[in-house]
Amino acid sequence: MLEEAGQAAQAGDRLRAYELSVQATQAAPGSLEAWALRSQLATSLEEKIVCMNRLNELEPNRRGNHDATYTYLNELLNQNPFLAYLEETPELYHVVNKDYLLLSIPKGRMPAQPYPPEGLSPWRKTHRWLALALLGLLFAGIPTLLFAPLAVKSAWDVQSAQHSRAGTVRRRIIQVTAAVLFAIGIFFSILFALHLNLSF
Amino acid sequence: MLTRSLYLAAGWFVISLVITLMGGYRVRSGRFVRSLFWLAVVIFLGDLWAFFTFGLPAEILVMSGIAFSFGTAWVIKLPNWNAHGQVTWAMTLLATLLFIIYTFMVTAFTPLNMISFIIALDFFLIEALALVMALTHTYESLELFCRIRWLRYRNESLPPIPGYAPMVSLHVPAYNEPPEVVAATLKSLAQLDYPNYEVLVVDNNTPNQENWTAIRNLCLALGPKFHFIHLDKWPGYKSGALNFALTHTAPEAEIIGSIDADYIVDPGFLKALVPAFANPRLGFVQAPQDYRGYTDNPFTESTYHGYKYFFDISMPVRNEYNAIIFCGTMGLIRKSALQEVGGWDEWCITEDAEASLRILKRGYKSLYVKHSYGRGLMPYTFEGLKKQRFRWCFGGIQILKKHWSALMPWAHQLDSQNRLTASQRYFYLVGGLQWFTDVVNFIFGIFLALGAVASIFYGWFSVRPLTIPLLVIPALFLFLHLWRFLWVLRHILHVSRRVALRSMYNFFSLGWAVTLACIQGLIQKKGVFLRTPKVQGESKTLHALRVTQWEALIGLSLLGFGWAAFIVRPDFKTFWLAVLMAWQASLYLAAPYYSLLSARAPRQPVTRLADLDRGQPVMENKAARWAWIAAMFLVTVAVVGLLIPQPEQPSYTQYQPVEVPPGILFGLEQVPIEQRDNTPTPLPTLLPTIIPTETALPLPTLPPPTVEPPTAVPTLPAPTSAPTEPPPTSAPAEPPPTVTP
Repeated sequence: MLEEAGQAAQAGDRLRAYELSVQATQAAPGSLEAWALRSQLATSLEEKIVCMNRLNELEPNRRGNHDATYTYLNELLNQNPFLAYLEETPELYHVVNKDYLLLSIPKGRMPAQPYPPEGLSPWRKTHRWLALALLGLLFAGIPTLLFAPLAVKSAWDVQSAQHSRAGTVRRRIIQVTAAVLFAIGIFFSILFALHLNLSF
Repeated sequence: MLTRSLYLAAGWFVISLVITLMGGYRVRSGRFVRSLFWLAVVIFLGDLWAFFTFGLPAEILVMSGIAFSFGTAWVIKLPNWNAHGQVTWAMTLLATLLFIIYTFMVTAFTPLNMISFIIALDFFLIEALALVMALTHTYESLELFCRIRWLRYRNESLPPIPGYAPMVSLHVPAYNEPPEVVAATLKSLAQLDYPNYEVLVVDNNTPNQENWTAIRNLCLALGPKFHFIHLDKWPGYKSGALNFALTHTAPEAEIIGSIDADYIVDPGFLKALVPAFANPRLGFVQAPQDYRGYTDNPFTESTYHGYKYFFDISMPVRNEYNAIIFCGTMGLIRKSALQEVGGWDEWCITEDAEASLRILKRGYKSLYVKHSYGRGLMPYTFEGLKKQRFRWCFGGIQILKKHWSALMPWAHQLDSQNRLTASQRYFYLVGGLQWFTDVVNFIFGIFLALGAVASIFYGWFSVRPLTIPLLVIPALFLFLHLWRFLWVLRHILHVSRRVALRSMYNFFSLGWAVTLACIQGLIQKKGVFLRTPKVQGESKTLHALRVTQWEALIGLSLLGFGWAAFIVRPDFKTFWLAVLMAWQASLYLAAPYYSLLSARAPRQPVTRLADLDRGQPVMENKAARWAWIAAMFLVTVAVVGLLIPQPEQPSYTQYQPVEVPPGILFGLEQVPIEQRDNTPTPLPTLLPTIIPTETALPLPTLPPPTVEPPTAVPTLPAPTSAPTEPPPTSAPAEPPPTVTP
């Protein structure tokens, strides 16, 4: 059907080609070629945009789709520059224009790393113990003596569950950091003990 | 030995810095031998003073040997600096390190009860942090003035490359802007002398359709290069709009520029900067942000110079290490690099600086061209400036929260994609941490107030003793760092002493806003903006005072407590405390002063309609509560510390550093040479009863060690310790000047 539509278009029978492309999109709604052909043959800007929406949904990262969407959107915005936000996915914006025509616009960029990160990192608990160990230095290092070993243990548990080179490196760094904090904590605690004994 | 070494190092620091500032920076050549010679001269001059002051030639020789080795290491490490810079930096570092060690020894081995010890230890840690921050500022100043070989410095346009004119897409985000302001910007962009560019005006969420329709009509009139989009109910504020603009940029565009809607851009802007992108590894290029209409009023003038500090001092230094910040306006960024890192971060309220870190992380290069190509509008009220500084600081803390692990020394080990160099990590980490200087300053203020209140009611404050080095050295550091800062402002910005002083205080006046932003940045998950207190219908003057009511309250409290302490118990210590608190108060009282100045400014012909507020509002009064809760916690702990008796003379006090009377330092008190090599180790300050009389050195400037009974203790019980053995008195040392670029 697509070949036939292509031949009709080449022969100059644009109406016939368009009808065939419409039938093709109805017969195979997941066909990129059918929607691409229909978008080229459609006569109204709105229909072209509907076709591009479908193409963008099917293959959001295709460069050719981006360029065509840019062209059609530019044309639309020249008529009226209004766009209202509906929602977005990592790849697409879903917006409407002033006449409530839905547009799916590819973002054309790598998905950004979400921050604050979605889901809990396995190292979150370890980092928390380490942060507490660091803060513990403000209390003469006594809490550090508790939290630094907990950070080491937590790092060990996480790394045992997931064997990776990065995990091993991270565990070692946490261990070294915790050891340094622990040493400072001991030093501060000894000084604290000196003052404690003499107070009472 | 530690005390004398500290004095000696401080002497070298003074000699080297003074000579550098008085002309040493002009030396434009450098050789290894010359540097060593200058290092030896500085050490010798310090040694001369030390010999006639302390005697002890062996000790001086040992210390000089260490200093010479230390200095030589820095001469080797900093081959692109002149001798004066190298030696000044080495001596600054040495004096600071020794002071930190000295302070620790005093803190650790002063007889204190457990609560007082914890407070003293925390105070020491904060003090050490403040000193490290001061070092970073010193390094930046010396780098700028004493560097003799710049590898990447550029203060002029890049040479054009024939046939190279990639398409540039200039994005102009606008929110509720007055049409006449945007019109001026767009007209200047229409005059750009560059063949291949488009301008995309992205209006987001402007409620008044008349406003954005006027801008759209102007775009239509300016021709096909100009495009306009109105985005409605759009999330993500400015970065959300810019992200959509990135999506709707002409496919053939290779470079993106973001221009604030109030900037008048010079025609040569693109022609001057685009050639940098011929290097395919260049991610972004930045020119300074400049301002117009600032000369009518001392407030705007000092604000202008405050901005200039960053672009004339910090950015050239960072550029040398390929570690600049992308500041948005007047910068260009490679589109593919921006797409590669996922566009602008809609979570961070300083999305431009955040994006630059991610781009550098990918191994791209950056370039700073120190030449102004455009001028915008700045906040014309202190309220506006305060909110802007709050936003910048909040964004800086957000960046630190998000990227701290990428800035650690071991970051490469954890993420092989992280291609940040050590210098880049240093500058971004320090840039984020420097905001906390104002928090540290606030904590110092609390300690000083505590010291004053305790002095009024008890006659002492048991954090740590006020030894002579703790009086002299911080005062010296404070004076020299302030002098350096003023000197840098004067010489870089070419302004008079008065204007430099006003610009410096303009920095300091925003300390409270920065403190709030740091606290909010740590506790808030999403972007917030500061909403200052307002009352409908009040006069400009009253409003100006209201927006700085917290700063005024803090400043007046510090001033009042300090002088009350001196009036109730007039002696040298309380006088010094009052002076310190007056200095600290002046930092906060500068805020109402500038606010009143801004209220007196003539009305600006054009101003922005919109505050650049984004995120949830944080009421200043509510935000201040966090700071006050922290302060009250500290006060409570300190009061508990005061109530617990201090210990008797324990054995560990023998590790306290030797006290050297100030009279000796200034040659006022002659000590026979034969006695100098047997200097005792007295307990610090006011504990003379346990110092053996045959070895004790007199403390001529300190009052006799008697404790007056508390004159007025309305709610707190009287100290239980024996009045004949007063615990050490403390007025915390003043931090070095806070410099917030």
